Amino acid sequence: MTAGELVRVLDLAEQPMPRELRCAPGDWSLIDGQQIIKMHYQSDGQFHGAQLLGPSCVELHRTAADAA
Amino acid sequence: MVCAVRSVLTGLPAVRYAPVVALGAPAADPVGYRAVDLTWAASPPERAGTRSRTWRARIGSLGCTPRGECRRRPSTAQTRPISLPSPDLHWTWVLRLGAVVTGWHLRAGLSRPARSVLPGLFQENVPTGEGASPHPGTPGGSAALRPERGQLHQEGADVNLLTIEQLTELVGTTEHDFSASRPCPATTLRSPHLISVAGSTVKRTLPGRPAGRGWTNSRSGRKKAGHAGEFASSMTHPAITSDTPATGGTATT
Repeated sequence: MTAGELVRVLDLAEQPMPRELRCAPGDWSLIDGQQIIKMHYQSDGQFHGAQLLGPSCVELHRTAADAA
Repeated sequence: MVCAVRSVLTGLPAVRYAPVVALGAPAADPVGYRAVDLTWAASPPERAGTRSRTWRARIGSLGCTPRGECRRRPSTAQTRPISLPSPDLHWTWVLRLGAVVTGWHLRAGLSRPARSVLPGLFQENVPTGEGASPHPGTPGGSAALRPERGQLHQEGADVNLLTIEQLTELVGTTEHDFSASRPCPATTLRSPHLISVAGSTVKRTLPGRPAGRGWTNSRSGRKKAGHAGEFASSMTHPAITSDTPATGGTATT
């Protein structure tokens, strides 16, 4: 993807979590392939906040995004 | 510079997806979905900069038409041009589409399942996260993309969405360009920091802020009293205080 947004949703009832995604669970966005924004939710599902993860997480999530 | 966003959503048990994927269908009759794949591709380079850009929403694996009419099995991919009124709004809109998917429809849909979801993504007055404040919509859009039922903005007070402004704030830039006319430039990583999204307000936490604090899910979007970058700490989330990936507040299967 050159530009824009790509959203992928995995229904885990239909298939197991892909191995590549097990290390990067939850909802997150990879920004320009370099930065990870992790979404957090309350137990009732309400959006709780977003977090910019550290650079050590980027490669992991990049692999997961490719797998997704 | 933010120019490409790839979102992966695996944070919910599949049962929670049912109301979402059952676009236009009651929750008691969930559609057998496997995945939702919404792709927004940038408009052709020659159209970049024009006031009314055309993007395409690929709604293939949803098994739903742009009108929200769903089938039990995914249909063939459908594309439909969507005209948006201004580039700035466009970018915000595009990000908001994803945010809607992540932050609201997949979740709030639990309690309000019988609504038309996908058409609502393109309707006017999509909630911005600050209460139910209206947001200029898609006057150039097709009437077929208007919701047939369900009004997102009417129940949008509990929506917290990442707008482009918030996202750029998160990554430490004020620039964004989703045009495909040039490659994404390299961005400079900033030090990890927590961001709280309160309505449409995004603030950074102060350095050295105690772990587990600094998060709020204020529905009003009003700024809390206190120093700049400081939040009311009514909500805590100890799982998100380190630099390591957090599992978030939802279960995965």
